[in-house]
Amino acid sequence: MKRKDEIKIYIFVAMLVIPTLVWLLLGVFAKDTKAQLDFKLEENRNLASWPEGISSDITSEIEAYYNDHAPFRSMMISVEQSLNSATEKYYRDHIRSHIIEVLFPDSDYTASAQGESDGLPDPGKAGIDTGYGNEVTIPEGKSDIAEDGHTHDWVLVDRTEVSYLTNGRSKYKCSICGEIKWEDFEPKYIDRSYYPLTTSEYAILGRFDWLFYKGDRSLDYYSGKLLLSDDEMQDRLDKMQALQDACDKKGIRLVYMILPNKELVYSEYMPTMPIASTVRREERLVKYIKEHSDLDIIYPFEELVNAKRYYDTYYPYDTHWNNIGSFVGTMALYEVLGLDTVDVSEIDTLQTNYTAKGLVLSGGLSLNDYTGDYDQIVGYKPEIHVIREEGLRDQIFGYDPVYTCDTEAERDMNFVLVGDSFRVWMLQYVEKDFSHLCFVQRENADQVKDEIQDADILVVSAVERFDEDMFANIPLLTKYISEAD
Amino acid sequence: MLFSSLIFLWVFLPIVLIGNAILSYIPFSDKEKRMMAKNVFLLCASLIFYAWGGVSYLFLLLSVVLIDYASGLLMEKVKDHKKMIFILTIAINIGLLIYFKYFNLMVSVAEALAGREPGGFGLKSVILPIGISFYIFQALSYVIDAYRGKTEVQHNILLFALYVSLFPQLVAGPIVIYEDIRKQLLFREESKEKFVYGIRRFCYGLAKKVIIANAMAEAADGIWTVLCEEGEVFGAGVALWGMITYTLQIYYDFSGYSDMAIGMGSMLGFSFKENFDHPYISGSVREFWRRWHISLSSWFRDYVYIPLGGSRGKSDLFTYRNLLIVFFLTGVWHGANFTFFSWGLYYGVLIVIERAFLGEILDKNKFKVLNHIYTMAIVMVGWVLFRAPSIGDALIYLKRLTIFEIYPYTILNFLSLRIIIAFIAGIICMGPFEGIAVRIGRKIKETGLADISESVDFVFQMVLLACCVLLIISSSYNPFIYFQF
Repeated sequence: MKRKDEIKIYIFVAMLVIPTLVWLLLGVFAKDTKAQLDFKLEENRNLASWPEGISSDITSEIEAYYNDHAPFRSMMISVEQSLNSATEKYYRDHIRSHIIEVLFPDSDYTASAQGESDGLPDPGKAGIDTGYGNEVTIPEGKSDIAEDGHTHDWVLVDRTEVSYLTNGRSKYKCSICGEIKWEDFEPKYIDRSYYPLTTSEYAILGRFDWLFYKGDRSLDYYSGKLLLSDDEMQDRLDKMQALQDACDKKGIRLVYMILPNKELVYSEYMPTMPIASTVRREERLVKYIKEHSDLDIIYPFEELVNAKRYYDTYYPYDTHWNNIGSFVGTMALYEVLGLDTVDVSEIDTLQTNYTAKGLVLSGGLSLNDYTGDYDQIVGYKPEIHVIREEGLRDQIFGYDPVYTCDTEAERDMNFVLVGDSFRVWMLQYVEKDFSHLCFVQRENADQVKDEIQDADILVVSAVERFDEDMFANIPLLTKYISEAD
Repeated sequence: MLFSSLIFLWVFLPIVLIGNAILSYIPFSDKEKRMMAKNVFLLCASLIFYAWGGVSYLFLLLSVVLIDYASGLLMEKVKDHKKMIFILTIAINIGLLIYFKYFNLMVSVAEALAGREPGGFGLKSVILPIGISFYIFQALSYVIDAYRGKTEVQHNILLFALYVSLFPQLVAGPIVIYEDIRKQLLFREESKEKFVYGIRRFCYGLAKKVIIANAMAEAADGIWTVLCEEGEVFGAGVALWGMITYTLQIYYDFSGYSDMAIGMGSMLGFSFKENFDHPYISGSVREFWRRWHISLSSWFRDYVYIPLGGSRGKSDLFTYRNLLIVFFLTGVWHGANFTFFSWGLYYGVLIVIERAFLGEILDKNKFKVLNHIYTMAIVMVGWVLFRAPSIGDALIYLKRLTIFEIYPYTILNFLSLRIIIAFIAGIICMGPFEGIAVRIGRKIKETGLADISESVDFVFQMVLLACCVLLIISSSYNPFIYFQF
């Protein structure tokens, strides 16, 4: 018995000590192996470093360092994420659906209206829904005769069948002139059954594996809780007007862009949740601004929804818009600027597997369970190249807060965009049309004061959930421009 | 430092266990010297453990040690002033506890009464040092028993400091009475059997906390967050699920910690008394308090209830008064919030009712299952009061139990496979099922399969330990949410 107890004690202590010992030994005798095992997780942050100097927080700093550099950390986290992701997916797909069938047998889940009126005029409808039910119109057909009189020779280049994830549609390309047409539309199925709201860390687990972002009050924006009063909208308009006045004095063309949250554009994949109001905060704000001023402001919600007829405009596993979505947004901007635009239905595209999956990472989920997504590379003015650039511009795995470049574009103008991470996807298009670009993260605008002051076009942009950050930043931009000689 | 943290499991604990073992093999001139060396080692480890949470708090702990140690010596030496020294010591200890624990509450009440905004008096908030309620009560038990002559005064400050600060029970109990541990400080017997028993308690305790309690917390916290942030948007089903999960969470969290403390104590040669005895199989509230947080209820019984007169008074009213005082103070001990005070009084009233007449009815009731149902209902309602941020929130929550309409939030919003598994494990490991397991264990021993079953049990403990480590490491995964920019 004593011998067995001894063995048990050794095993227990070994369980506590061996991981550290093996890790240290690997570090000394098998560095390559250790490096392989200590692979980088997609955490998009610098891991905690060893504390410099002694402070009152030194113990928590040491612990943070240890947690970030624990032996076999990457391996263990990957294993746990894989197990967790796979089992929870199995639960959602196979077990929970049966529970729902038993508890909520009807396909349409309805309930009495919830939500409180906040006293604002026309609060819209409150209720329970999967969202705003974005309806997509079927586009008109195209003539078989081209503008120059030739008869198009339509060749089928792509066909998707209708499903819950895709519209049914056929894409034809004329073999003579390359023009594109779309036919045989079938609007995708919409699942309105009860789908409980569940989250994994920062990710909302939507229908058909679509993921949405939980942070920054996304759900409050989605459910219509954050409507602004008239006074609040006026306050924001005043700030925007002050910047406009400063820009006018310097001859800078100013445009505001607010980009819809993915939850609104893809509400068909959102879980069932209470809606306080179907009135959209930004739509209402933009309408107010247009009615009370001459400011140029874009909120390309309709454009992004309509573009879904042809392509997805946001990544399924990331909160950002994709190459198509950013193209649509850029064209909406060009329309306001009076530049030539290209309709999304007429672009040539090449499918790519290079996509963003930030929500898989921030949801603590396994990349192995979220595959099969794709993006489109848009063939927009491929003949124009970047001549000189400073800063990183990879929109998925790394970008700098400041990116500037010079290009071969004919339009000799300085284009400055102050915004958030959504700006990065617009680079690939804007660089074709302007000879000098400066794209800067809002919080780093002070680093490029001279660029802002020298801008011909200044775009102030924010994704919807950061609109308050944008408004808070506007007075600083006004100050920078006013300071210019 | 948390027991369920990686730095504790992989650094602190192995160093302590190995260090303690090494001291067993170093040739000392006698057993007492060896024991003192071990005690010094454990004392240093305990002080480092406590200082890890904040060096400034260590000074408070050492102050309490010094004051109470000196008090014991003075009471022994200066018998004429024994009572005064005793009263002064009690006042200082209670005064420290009141200041650190209740100062903020007193200030906020005073501000409210004076019609001032929170923070209106301009007083800085006092941070609550971790474990203060436990170690002050522990130290007080020594002072009181020394005053009464029920224990010998400790002349060795190191031993006294070790008693107060011993890390396994320092921050979360059990509250160890000095007399129960006095001899163990110098004459404890370490053995392989005790160590293996300690491993068992530790591993099961860790699993209770990390696997069951944390999963239950996910559901319970989710429901309370919805109530506090969105209001009354769920019905009876969700409310009941929230009560059940919190009931399991608090039990497995607290008893898990106690198990780990008892287990580590056993590994180091100490025998601590049990703190929980299957409280959820109780058939009355009185029985519940004999099984729940036994060390605390024993402390109040020995140092408050009995000195007040207990049940030895001339009338029942006298006893009821004492019971109400004790339970009110029990509530006060738990935290600085009126919810805790109410929770204590809630149990005080129920205990009085059972003592007055209900207890007899319960004892005579042949259908014991009804007693269990009654007790669990009382306990679960009590936990709502305990968990709620305010009494108003508790009442709102309890009201949801009577609402049977369909709401946007259903139980499915607070379910995952992990939660379901933890729930099933939580139910199985509770009360009656554990009793069945014990009976099966005895049968197995009689059949001669004891060795195999012990080995299987040990393997299971190691598997649980590995799972817990996996979960703990995974909680360090903290991706930078680049879409926060």
